[in-house]
Amino acid sequence: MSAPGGLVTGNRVWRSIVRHGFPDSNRNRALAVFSNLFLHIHPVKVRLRAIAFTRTYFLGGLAAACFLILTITGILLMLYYRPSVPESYEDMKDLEFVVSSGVFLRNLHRWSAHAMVAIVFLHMVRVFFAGAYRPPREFNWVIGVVLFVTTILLSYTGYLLPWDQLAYWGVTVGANMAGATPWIGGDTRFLLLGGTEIGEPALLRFYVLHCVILPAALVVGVAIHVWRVRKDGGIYLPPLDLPRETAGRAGGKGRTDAPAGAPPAAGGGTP
Amino acid sequence: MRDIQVRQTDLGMTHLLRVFAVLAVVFVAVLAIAPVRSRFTEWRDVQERYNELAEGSGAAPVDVAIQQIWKPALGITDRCTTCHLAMGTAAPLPGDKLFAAHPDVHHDPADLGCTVCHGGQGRATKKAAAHGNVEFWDDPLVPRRFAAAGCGGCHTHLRVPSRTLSERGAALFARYDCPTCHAVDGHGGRGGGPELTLAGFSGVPEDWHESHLRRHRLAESGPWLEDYGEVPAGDVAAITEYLRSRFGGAALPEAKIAAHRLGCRGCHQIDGVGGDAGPELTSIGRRLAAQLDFTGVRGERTTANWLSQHFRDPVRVVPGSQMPDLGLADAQVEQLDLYMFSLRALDVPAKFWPPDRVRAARLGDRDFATDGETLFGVFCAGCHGVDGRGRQFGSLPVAFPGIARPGFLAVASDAFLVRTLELGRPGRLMPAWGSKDGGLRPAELDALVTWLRGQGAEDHDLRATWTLPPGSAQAGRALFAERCAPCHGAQGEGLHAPQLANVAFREAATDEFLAATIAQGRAGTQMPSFAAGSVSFAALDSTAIADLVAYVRTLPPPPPPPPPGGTP
Repeated sequence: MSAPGGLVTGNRVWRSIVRHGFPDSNRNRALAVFSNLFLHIHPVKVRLRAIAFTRTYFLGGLAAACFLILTITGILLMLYYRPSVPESYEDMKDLEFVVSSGVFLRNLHRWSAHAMVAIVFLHMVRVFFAGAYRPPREFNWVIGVVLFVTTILLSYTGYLLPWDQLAYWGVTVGANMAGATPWIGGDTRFLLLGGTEIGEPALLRFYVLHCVILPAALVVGVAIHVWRVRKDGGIYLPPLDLPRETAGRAGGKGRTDAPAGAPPAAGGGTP
Repeated sequence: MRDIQVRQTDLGMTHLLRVFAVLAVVFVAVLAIAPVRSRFTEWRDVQERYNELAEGSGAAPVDVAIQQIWKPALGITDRCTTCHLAMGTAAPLPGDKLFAAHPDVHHDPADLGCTVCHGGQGRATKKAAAHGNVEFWDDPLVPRRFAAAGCGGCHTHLRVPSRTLSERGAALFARYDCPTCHAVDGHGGRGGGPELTLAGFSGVPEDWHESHLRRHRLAESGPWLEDYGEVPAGDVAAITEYLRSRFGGAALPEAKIAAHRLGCRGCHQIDGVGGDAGPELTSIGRRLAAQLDFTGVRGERTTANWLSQHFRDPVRVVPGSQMPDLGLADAQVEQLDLYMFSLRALDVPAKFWPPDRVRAARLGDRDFATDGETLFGVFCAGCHGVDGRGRQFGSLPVAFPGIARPGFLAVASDAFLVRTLELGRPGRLMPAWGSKDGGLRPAELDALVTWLRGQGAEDHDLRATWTLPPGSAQAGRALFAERCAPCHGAQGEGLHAPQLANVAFREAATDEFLAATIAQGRAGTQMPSFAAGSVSFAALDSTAIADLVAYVRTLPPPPPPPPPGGTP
């Protein structure tokens, strides 16, 4: 270790933050991953096959990136937006005409929202065709469906906030669909709108749903989703390099053995 | 010591990293461009042009920034002055129309903003959006040619005065030497009384004469003592009417008055008052060109052009329209356009309403005088003619009766007129003015009948002059088919002439009215005198007339007209 490097990494402060040596041994490499909040979403061992672009098309990561952009732009938009009538529409107009980079903010938020819905959908398609929903990952598929619905709801609740004609009638249709639910329809609609008609209470409810409840739900859901992927040994990998007859048998009836991507006994433990 | 072997097959990761690097650079570039783009805007160019011109002419330059007139109470945020700089705080500059000052108007633009009068999108800072020429903006600019229509945003209830009464008031105003103190239209006013040129806008106190008299009684010397005195109540009313007709020559009241002499409200509701045969016009001034069908319109696709051509030839522009070609002169079309553009149904806070609007909205005052002459112009003139002598339009099969003709009035009793106004003619164009929404009040019906009566013969009881022998409907039947059916229809359903089978008509008309009309005919119309006869037919005696009347009484009610409206 060189002297200047040692100056930085040798002192007590550094060592209190980074509690492992250089990743020059398997142990340190493993420590580097699971003592880091951001890296420890990876399992201890990541196979090269698992991080190939064509394995996942990075769709889960892209969806998360969209959510990050949406969070940042959303928070900035909240600085200008008042969830009341008619201020909300006027604030939209001010964002369009006088707020610095307001159009950029709105458009970035909007296109990221569209992209997120599309990417989450493609992510599900990828998972489905890769067979990554199979045991022991079935419940994670269920969580994924919940996250997909949450994404759609986030997109939909954001739709009302401009308080223009499109928003108003979009919410009219949505609220009436909720109202058509057997037995609890009327109450659901009332709960959703905060009243019997679409007005300021509905706007406020959709605002709180859009900015607090649904994002919080999504964050918790994603945390569980990713945690379970990690616990299952990372990205699902199909059996590889198996003799042809083994693969054929595996593809046949009663596939009861664990997938090849299941965690190895040693590496999959608690980090 | 290295204890793992790094495999050299990287599964294309190096390539991916390059792609990622390029994308990262592009993303940062986009992030940088967004704020930079806001430096290159239309309005910055305009303000920089202003500053260049200002430098040449010695005027003070402006700080390059968005400007706005902000009136939360009125609900406006108008950024128009960002480009129309001299209409805000900057000095006007010659050489560019954009930098001209606002023409002199009664209200200070800095007080009311721009969009209240002119329409458009005040919050916008781009030309097309600000002028409202964008999708999803429903309040386009009022065309420059009709800028005076902008007054209609607040002045929705400018009052149409009575012509006769205000003319009498004008004469009295001069005779009582009112101009000694009060200036009107640039005359008089040396005595220092308030100027009354715009009294029509500001309102005239009902008790002006009483308050003048009080000051007269309290005065010990001077003009109040010497120059004022009693004025008869009738003269006070006439002078008040004259003053309420003073609008300083403003274009909108003149246009509105002109429109209300053509009888638009006979068929169209405006602010909840009027007939139902045509479309409601309360917010016609905000109609977007995109909402209009230009198939039958020549020339430019603007609302103004559509309106003009529609007034000149309604059926060409709106196929199947029942609106007749009123034969309007160019100046009249222009005035109607102006009035239409003033009907914008703008949601102005009540605090900013002019007095006439407050009275109309809160006390139910009419926005027209309620004497018979004015009422006739507002509601009847469109169909029955401006002079009330009846009309026949090329596009409509039926002639509208001349109700202000002495021949008609000689047989029509007041009871008949009132009943007709109350019931209308169900199924025909004549609305039931007495009972419909947006119709006339009982006092107004009486005023109308009184005025009509003044246009011809006195009201008299026909029963005094007419004694009808008992008639036989059976005998009248053949006679009706021969004499009446060609015009009134085989079942009296009204081909080119009034619908005799109409329930309301039969209720309003007495036997004597029918008999007298058959006998005397109707001068000025196709209805001949059957008692006199002519070259083509023999005269009818009173028995035959009685038979006809009896038969008319038995006509079955006509079937309801096909929607919408059907033939009038």
